[in-house]
Amino acid sequence: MDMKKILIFSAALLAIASCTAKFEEINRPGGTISKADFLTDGYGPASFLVQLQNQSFPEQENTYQMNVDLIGNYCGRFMTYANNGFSNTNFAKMNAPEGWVRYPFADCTPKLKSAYNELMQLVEEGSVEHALGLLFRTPAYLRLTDIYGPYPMGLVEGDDLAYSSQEDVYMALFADLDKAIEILAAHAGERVNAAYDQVYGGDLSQWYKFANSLKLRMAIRIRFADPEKARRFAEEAVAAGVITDNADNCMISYNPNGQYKTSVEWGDSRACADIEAFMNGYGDPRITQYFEPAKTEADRAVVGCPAAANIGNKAIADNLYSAAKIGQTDRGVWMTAAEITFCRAEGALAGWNMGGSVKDLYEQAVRLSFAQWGAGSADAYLADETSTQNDYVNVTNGYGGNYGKASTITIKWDDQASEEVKLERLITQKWIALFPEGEEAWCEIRRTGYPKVFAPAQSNSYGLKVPNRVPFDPREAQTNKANYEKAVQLLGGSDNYATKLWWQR
Amino acid sequence: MRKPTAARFFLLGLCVACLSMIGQVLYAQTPVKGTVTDASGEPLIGAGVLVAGTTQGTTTDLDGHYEIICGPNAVLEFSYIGMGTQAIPVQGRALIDVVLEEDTDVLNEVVVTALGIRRASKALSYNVQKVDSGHLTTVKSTNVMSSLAGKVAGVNINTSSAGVGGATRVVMRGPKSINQSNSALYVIDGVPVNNRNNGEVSNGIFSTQPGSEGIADLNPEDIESISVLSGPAAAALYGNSAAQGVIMITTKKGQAGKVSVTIANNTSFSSPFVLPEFQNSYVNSLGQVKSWGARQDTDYQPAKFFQTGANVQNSVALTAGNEKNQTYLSFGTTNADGIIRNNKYDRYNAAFRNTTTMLDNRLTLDFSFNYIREHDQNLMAQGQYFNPLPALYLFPRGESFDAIRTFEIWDPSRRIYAQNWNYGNALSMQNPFWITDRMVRSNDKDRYMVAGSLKYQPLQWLDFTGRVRFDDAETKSQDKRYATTNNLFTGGSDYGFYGYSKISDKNVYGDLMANINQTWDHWSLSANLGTSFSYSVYDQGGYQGGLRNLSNDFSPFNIRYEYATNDNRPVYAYTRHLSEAVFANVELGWNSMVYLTLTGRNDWDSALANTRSMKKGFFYPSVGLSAILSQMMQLPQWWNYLKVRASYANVGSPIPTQISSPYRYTYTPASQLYQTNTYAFPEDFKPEKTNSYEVGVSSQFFGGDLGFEFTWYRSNTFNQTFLRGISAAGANSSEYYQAGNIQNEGIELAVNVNKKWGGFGWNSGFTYSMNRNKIIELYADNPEEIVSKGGLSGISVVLKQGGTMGDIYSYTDFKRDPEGNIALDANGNIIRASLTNPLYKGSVLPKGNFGWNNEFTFAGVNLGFLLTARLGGIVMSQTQAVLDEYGVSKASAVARDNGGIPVNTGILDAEKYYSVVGGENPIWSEYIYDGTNVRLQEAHLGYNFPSKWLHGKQLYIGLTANNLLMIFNHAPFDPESTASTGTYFQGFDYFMQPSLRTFGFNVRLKL
Repeated sequence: MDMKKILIFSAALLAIASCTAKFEEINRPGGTISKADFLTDGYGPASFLVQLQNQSFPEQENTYQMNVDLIGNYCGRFMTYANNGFSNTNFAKMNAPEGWVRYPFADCTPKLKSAYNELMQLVEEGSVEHALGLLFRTPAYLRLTDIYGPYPMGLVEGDDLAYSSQEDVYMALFADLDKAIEILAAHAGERVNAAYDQVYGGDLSQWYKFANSLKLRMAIRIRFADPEKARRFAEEAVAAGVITDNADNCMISYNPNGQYKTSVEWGDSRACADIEAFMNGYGDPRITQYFEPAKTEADRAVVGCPAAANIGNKAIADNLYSAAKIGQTDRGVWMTAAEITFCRAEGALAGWNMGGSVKDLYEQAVRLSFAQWGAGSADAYLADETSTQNDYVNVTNGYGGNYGKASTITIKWDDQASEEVKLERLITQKWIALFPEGEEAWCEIRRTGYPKVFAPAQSNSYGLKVPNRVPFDPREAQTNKANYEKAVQLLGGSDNYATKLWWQR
Repeated sequence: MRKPTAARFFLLGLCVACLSMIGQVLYAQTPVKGTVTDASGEPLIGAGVLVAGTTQGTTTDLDGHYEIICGPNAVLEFSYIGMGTQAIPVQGRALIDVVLEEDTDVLNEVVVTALGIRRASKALSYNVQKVDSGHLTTVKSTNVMSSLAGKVAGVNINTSSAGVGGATRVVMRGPKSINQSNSALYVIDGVPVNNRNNGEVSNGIFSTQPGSEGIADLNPEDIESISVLSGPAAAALYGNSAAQGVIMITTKKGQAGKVSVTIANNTSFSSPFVLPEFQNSYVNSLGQVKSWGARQDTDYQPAKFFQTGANVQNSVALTAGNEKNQTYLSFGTTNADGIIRNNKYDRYNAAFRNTTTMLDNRLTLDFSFNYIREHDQNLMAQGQYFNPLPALYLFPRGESFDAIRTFEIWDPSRRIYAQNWNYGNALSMQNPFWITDRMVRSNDKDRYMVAGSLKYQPLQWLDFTGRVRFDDAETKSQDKRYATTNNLFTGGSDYGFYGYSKISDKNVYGDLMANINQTWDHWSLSANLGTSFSYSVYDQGGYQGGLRNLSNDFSPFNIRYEYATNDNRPVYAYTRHLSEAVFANVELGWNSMVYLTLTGRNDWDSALANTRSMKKGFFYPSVGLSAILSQMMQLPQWWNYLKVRASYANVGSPIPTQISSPYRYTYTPASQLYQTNTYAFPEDFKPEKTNSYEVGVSSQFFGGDLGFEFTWYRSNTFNQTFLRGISAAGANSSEYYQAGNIQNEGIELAVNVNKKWGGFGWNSGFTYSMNRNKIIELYADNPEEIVSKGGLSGISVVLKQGGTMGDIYSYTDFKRDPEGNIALDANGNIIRASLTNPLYKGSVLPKGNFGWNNEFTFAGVNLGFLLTARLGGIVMSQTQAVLDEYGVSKASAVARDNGGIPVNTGILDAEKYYSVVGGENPIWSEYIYDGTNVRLQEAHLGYNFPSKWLHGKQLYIGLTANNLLMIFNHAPFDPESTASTGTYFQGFDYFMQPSLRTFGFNVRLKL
C-alpha cells in the first residue's frame, strides 16, 4: 500500500459520491405538476377559473359550512344550528371560536389572489378569460367585505396586504364588473371553457347578464350609503340587461351540494324559527319546497328552531326541526331572477328607472320565485292582505322557547302604504325569495332592518339581534399589524360584532 | 470528476497525513502457546492476544488455545470484551495460561461510535452512554425505545398515547429544528436505518390517528446493547440527522463455542394509569346530553370500559459457531392487546446473522437477514376522530350505558346491523363500542432487512470495510367503516367507507471505508476514510371513499370513485431521496493520555436540487480533544480515573426534501384539478447548520465502585427552513423562510454506583438532564414576528424571539373590567374574551429530568426499580374543560354541591360558569397544569436459579411492573404521555388515551 494507491482510492470515493445529475428528477414529488404543465391544452386558464368560481360559489362542504352556512345562513335567519356542539360558541351568540372567525378570510383570500395572479400570467389583458377572472372573483370579494368590512383586496399600490375601506372595495368591484361587462359585451353569444364551467356551460351571454345583475345587487346594497352612485350603477345595469328569467339563474353543479351536506347529511343545520313563522303564517306554498317536514310529528309539518337556541342533543333536535329540502346533486343557487327583480322593485321604490313600477316588479318577483320553486300560481298569495307571520310556538321538548310574532306585515302590495311599510313588505318578500342565499338575507336584515326577527334564544354581550359583522382574523393583529390597525381605523369602530359596515350607515 | 473543492482538499490532506505517520512493523522470533479462561475456568473463545507495541496478534480458538510468535522479551496483551486486559511479559516461556477477570476498569472500555467504529471510551471527546440489553429486556413494552426512558441523560423519551404499538418521541438535548424532525437518528450495526415515524399528530382535534414507527419493529432480544450519542460531535460522521443525536443499536452475533439456546417469555397486563376524575351525583335533564340535571346518584364508571391489556412476548435465540464461523438465529413473537377494545399489535420477528472469517482472518464477512411481520390495529392517541373516549367520558349520566353495549341493532329492512346511538355527534361522538368494533383501521407490514459487510485486512494496521443494507417494508393499510357509521366519516355514504393503500418504503445504504489503526512509541493513530450513499423511495398507492351501494363490502370495486370529493379519491404519494457523502475521521493519541479527533464530511443531497448548493453540497467538520488526567498526574488512591474532554462540531443538514422542486402545484381531489398552492418560496434555499460545543468530565472512584459523568453543551442551529405563517391577506398563507438561531444549552449528569458486599450487590444509576432552549433569533427582518405552531382552539405554541420552542400562548381570557376584575354580562355571567395579544402561559419544555435506577442482587435474587421525575413545564387539558362543560367532571359536581362558583364577590351558577370557562373554546388559564411529576416507572423482582440445580442450564424468573406508582402529579392526565411524536403538540390533552400501568412476569431459560 503506497501513497499512490491511497490517492487512487480517495479519488474513486469522490467520484462515486459526487454524482448529482439526477437530483432534480429524484427530488420531484409524485402527483404534482409544474408551471409549464399548465400551458398544455388550455389547462391553466381553465383550472384557475374553476378555482375562482369555487370560491365565489362555494359548494365544497367545508368551505360552504364555514364561509356561508355558519355565518350567512344562520345570521340571515334561514337556518340555525341543530348541533349541540355549536350551542355555546357561534356567530348567533357573537362569540364564535377564532377558527370560525378567521376561516372565510384565511381560506379564501390566498386562493382567490393566487388563482387570479396565475390566470393573469397566462392570459392577455382584455381577453375573455380576463373578464371571467374579474367576474369570478367578485362575488367572493363581495361576500368577504360584507362579512368583515374593510378588506385587503390588493388595491393599495405596493402593499398587497393592505386593507381598503369597504367603500373603496365596492368601487373597485364596480370597476371590475364594468371592465368585465365591456369585454363580455363584445363576445356575446360565444361559448368559452364550456367543459369546465359548471354554472352556464361557458355561455358568455348568460355571464354578461350575471355581471349586470351582480352590479345591480351591489348598487342596491349601497343605496343608503351613496344614493347617487347607487342609482347610476343600478340604471346602467338594468339598461344593459339583467337576469329576468329563471333560465338565467346562477346555479352551480357541484356534487355534493353544500347545503345538502350540512343540513341533510350532517344534520348540523335546521330551519330557523323566523322563516318558518313567516311562511307558515302566510300559508306560503314554497315552504314544502324549502324544507322537509320535521321527523317528529307536530302541529305543523315544517318546524323551525329559534336562532341561538341552546340545543341539548343534536339527535333529538334533528328530529324535532326541519332540514332543508335539497338533494346531493341539486344545483347550488347563488343568484335568481326573483332576487334581481326585487332589486329592480326597490330601485323603482327609490324613484330609479328600473323598467317597471314598484308594484309590477314586486309581483313579478314573487311570481318568478314561485315558478323557480314549482310552487304553482302566486295569484292567491299576492292577493292576501290579511295573513301575517305566526307567533312562534316551540314543539314539545323543543329548544329555545316561544316568541310572539315579530312582524305584522302582510303580502298584498299597497301603493298607498307609507314608504317604510312598502320597504318592509318588499324586503320581507325578497328575503323569503332569497332562500337559500343566507348571506344575502343577512345583508338585507343589516341594511334595512327587515324582516323583523326574533331575539336570539341565548343572549349575547352586545344586546344585538343579528351581528353587524364578524371581527377580523385575530392573527392579523400579529402577522399584519400595521395594516390591521389601519383596517380598524377604516372600519370606524371597534373590531367586534357590533360595529356597522359602511353601507349600513 | 469535477473541480476539487476546499472540502476535497481537506479530505485528501487527511489521507496524506495518515499515510505519513504510519510506522514500521516489528518482527518476532519464537512461538508461545497457552489457554485463556475466565475466572470460572471456562475457555474464552476469540480472546485477543497481541504482542505489545506491535500490531501482531491472534485470537484464541474454540478451546481457548492460542499460539503466537514473538521475541523472548516481548510482552503479550490478552484482551476480551467485558474482561480486563492483562499484559504478561514472556520472559522466555513457551507456555503461558491466562485467567482474565471481569472488567470494571473504564480505561479499557470499548464503545461503538458512529459508523460502527469501535473506540476506546477514553479516547472519546464526547458523551456516549451505553445501555446493555439487560436493561431493555427486563421490563418490556411493545416498542423497545420506551424502555430507554430515564436510563440515559440528555434524552427525553415520551411514549405515544396511541396504545400498544405506538411510536416514541426521542429528543436529545432539546428541540433544535423548527420545522424538520427533532427525533434521533437510529443506527443498527453502524448503518442508519429508515425509521419512518408515523406517530406525529399535527391537527389535534380533527387529526387522523397516529401510527407506529420503524424502530418498533425490532425484537428487543436481538439487541446486544444500545449506545446513545446525544451530541452532534459524536454523530458528526452521520451528517443530516446527526444534529439530533444518534441511537446506536448493536445487535447480537453468534458466539463461537458450544451451541446455546435462550428461550424467553415476557408477559404483562396493563390498565389505565391516570384517568380524569368524574362525578356520580348529577344526571342529565330530558333532551339534554350534558349532565346538568337533577341530583341523583349514578353508578356509571367510565373506567370499566377499559379492558385489561395484555402483552405476551416470546423469543428463542440460538447461537453456534467455531472460530471461523459464528451464527445467530432468533425468532420472536409479540402479541399485544391494548386497554381499548380492538387495539392490537402483533409482531413476528426472525433474525439470522452469520459471521465468517477467511484467508487467515484477513477477510471477514458478516451477513444478516431480518424478517418482520407486523399487524397493528386501531392505534388511537387523542382527538375526536376514531376516539371512543369523548362519548365514553361525556355519556349523559342519567341514561343507561348498558343499553348501548348492544352497539348495533338488526335493521330488518336493510338487513344489516345498524349503530345504536341517540346522543348526537357533537365532538364527533358515536357509540364508543361502534367506534372500537366497527371502525377498524389496520396495517399489515412485511419488512425485510438484508445487510452485508465485508472487511478485508491486508495489513495489521489497515483494513477496508464495505457495507450494504437493503431495507424493504411493504405495508397494506386498510380502513373499514361499517354502514351507519356517522356519515361525516363515510364520505357521505350510507353504506360504509373503505380506505385501502399499499405502501412500499425502501431504502438502500452502502458505504466503503478504509480504516487505519497504528501505534508506535508514544503515538497512536486511528483514521477512517470513506464514502457512503443512501437512497430511499416511498411509494404509496390506493383508494379511499364511501361505499357505492352495497353495505360493508370492503372492496376497491365498491368505492364511489365517480363521486369525487376530498373523501372519495385516489391515495397516492411518491417521494425519493438520495444522499451521497465522503467523510474522514482521524484520531491521534499520545501516550494513551491525550487524544485529538478530527472529522470532516461533505454531503450532496437530492433535497438541495434546484438550489445553488446542489453541486457543491455542504461540508462540515468537527474537532475534539480528550485528556486522561489520571494518567498525567498523581491522584489520591481512591480516585482511579479522571478524563476531561471537549469538542466542537458543525453539522449540516439539507432542507426538507421536495420543497425546492418546481413541481409545486397540487391536486385538489374535490375539484379534480391541479390548483395553486398558497406557499411562497424563496429564490434559493441553503442547507441548515448546527454548531455545537460540549465539554465533559468522566471520573471513577473507589476502584470503580463510583462513577461520574458530566457534560455541558451548547448548540446553535442556524439557517432553518420553516413555513412562516404570513398574513392571509395576500396570495399566500405562508412562505418558506430561512432564518433563525435556536440555542440549546444544558447539562447531562450520570452517577453510577456498583458495589458488592460479599454476596450482596448494589448497582445504581442516577441521571439528570437539564436543557434550556432559547430562540435567539427567529426573523432577522422582524424581531417582533411570531410563528404559531398549532395547538388547540384558543391556545397554541408560539415561537418568538427570546422565547422557547415550547412557549404556550393563550388567546382567551375572562373579560375583565378596567380594574382587572372579572366582568359580567347583563345576565350576570362571565364573558370569554378573545385576545388579539395572546397571553404567555409558560413552556411545555421540562426544566429538568431525573432518573434513578437501582438494582440489588443477593444470592441469585435481584430487585430493581427505576424512579423518574420531570421538573417544570406546563401541560394543558381540554379533556377537563369539556368534562366540566358537560357536567360530568368531579369538579362540576363539587361546584354544584357548593351552590356555585365564587366569582368576584358573588356566586355563579356552575352550569353557566362552565358553559363559558369549559368546553371546546375554554378560558385556558383554568386548564393549565404544572407538568412536574414523579413516578415509580419500573420495578422488577427476579430469581436466577443456581445453575448446578439445572445441570448447567440457566433459569431466571421475574416479576415486572411499569408505571407502578404516580408519586406526584397535579395534571388530570399523565404528563409524560404524548399524543404526538413530532416536535410540537406536546403537553396537549384532548381526550388522550390514558398511559398504561403494567404488571407482568418474565421467564428466561438458557440451554
